[in-house]
Amino acid sequence: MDIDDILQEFETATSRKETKKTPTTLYDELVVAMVNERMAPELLPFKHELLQKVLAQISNQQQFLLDSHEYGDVNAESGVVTGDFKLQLMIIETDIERINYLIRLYLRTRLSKIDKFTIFYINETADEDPDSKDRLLSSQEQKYMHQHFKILTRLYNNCFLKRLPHTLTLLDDTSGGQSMIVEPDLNQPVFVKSITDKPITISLGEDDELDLVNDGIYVVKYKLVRDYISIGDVVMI
Amino acid sequence: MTSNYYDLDDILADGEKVPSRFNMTVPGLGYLEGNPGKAVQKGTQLELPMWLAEVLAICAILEDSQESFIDLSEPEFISSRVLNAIKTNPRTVDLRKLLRNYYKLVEKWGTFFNEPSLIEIIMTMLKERAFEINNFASNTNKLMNNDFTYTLDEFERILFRMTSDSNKQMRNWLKE
Amino acid sequence: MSLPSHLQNNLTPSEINFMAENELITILPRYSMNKIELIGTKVPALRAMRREEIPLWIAVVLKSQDKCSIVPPSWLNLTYLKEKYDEEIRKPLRFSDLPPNWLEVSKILLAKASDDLADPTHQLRSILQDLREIRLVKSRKGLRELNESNIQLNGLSLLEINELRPFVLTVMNKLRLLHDTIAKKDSGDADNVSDDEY
Repeated sequence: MDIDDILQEFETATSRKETKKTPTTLYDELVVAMVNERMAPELLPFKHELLQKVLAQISNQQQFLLDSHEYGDVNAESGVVTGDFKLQLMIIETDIERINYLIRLYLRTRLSKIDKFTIFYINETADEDPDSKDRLLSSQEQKYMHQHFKILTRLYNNCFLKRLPHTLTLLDDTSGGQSMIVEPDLNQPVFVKSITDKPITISLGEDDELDLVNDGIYVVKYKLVRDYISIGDVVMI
Repeated sequence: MTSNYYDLDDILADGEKVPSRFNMTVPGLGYLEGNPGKAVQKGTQLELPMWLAEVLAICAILEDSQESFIDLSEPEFISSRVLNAIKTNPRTVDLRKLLRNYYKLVEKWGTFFNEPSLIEIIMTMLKERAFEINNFASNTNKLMNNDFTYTLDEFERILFRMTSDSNKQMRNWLKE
Repeated sequence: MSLPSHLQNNLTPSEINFMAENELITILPRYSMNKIELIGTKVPALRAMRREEIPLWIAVVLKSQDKCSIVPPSWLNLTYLKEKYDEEIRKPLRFSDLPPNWLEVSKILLAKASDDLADPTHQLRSILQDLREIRLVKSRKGLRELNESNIQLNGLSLLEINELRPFVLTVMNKLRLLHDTIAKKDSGDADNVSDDEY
């Protein structure tokens, strides 16, 4: 399939108009963050700013709902409160629920990777500046990770490690050509879509190259598009 | 090769036995061939698990010698008989019968001996069989009484299950 | 477990459906309504009989209360879909250009706003089903082309990709692992050398 042909042919198609780019909303940003996190083999940097913004908005909306319900109770008898008003509150509540759901999906995906690669990320984040704004994990996740590891090692110790000779009790031994530390495999293939107008050329090694064009869908090794994902030119799908 | 320390299939694959020949007489190892207390004589052919054979085959007996403790001989699963059968018709080969973790073992063997032609045959086979697996996994009524699905190795079985689960999910959603 | 294994590196059809519910759609309000500030988006002030674009999920809420009718997207009618179906047949090697969430949006509208659609629902359902099937057959044929490095799958929607995903990624990953055993010695490609080499 020649991609240029396809693109040209589709340029005039009607649905193109329909999927026109709308200004990015917090919702869109959350969806991209959630899907990227779901599809990436490794843990992506925590979206500190985005989450802060969204959580602040949620509490704003909740305050608004509280106030409105109070207003509704006070004015219920006078007939000021219309069905429309209730409908609007219902929509606001549903919106909060929907955002909540997305955040939950995002966080659960992250926790599952923290569980899977605990020792690896403990090592990775060991030298991070605790006050830095671009830490890989949120402070709650940091805490979770260390607690999780503590509980796990305690369980291992009680169950069997304490009965083994000391040299066999390591959980992070990397000698002898076999690493005990489970790491994310960055060579795993992933589905991606380019969302930038300028073509992206990635090297496949051995003089082989691949051009990612706008709206094109590809399966490539995660490692090759990792940087483009972090700047947002490529999204995972 | 990235291997996951806790991957059960990887551990099982490491336990698969491969034919090896001892390059020296080792006292006290006779229990490996049912002669406890005796030595294993130089030249003895024995089947050793992959994890052990691997180490013995690369460790030199003495620091300055080229010779290692054992030599590995070609195991059945990549013998020319098997490879010919694979080349003739990849879909009729009973991988399950050959090895429970066929692809894993080939990966290990390949990492060890760097065998481009072997890997090429196996990759071609995987593409062919995967295509067939996808056909079976997508077509619910073909599932019954089919011998092919019994010949899948562990990786292929997982692939089969994932593919049909994914299709099922989609069908269910469409019906909702 | 924080996330069941079938959800790792994968989405469920209902999650994708959820995402599609935020797609903007045009409605024709029957009543006026004040604008609403939401976290995810904004709903503009609605005036009776003046078209407005709002997220699909809100349109469905309003529709269920008879407060608006939904203007079907320009592709959701028999003529357009039949044309696409013919195109799928005419060009066996490519996918016709349908919107990225055609399956989800059409399913939602058929279920919640069938009276707003121009054509009888059973006919729409049947042509949508035909389209899905012919595209499925095509994409499966394309799966013969899998390799260890990269593929392109232009024209498929997210939901269609998601259905193929476990198969495509698992096979390509295995091909990659096999291929990597030969690549490392001569190419000098540092990427293929990992710590646990013997």
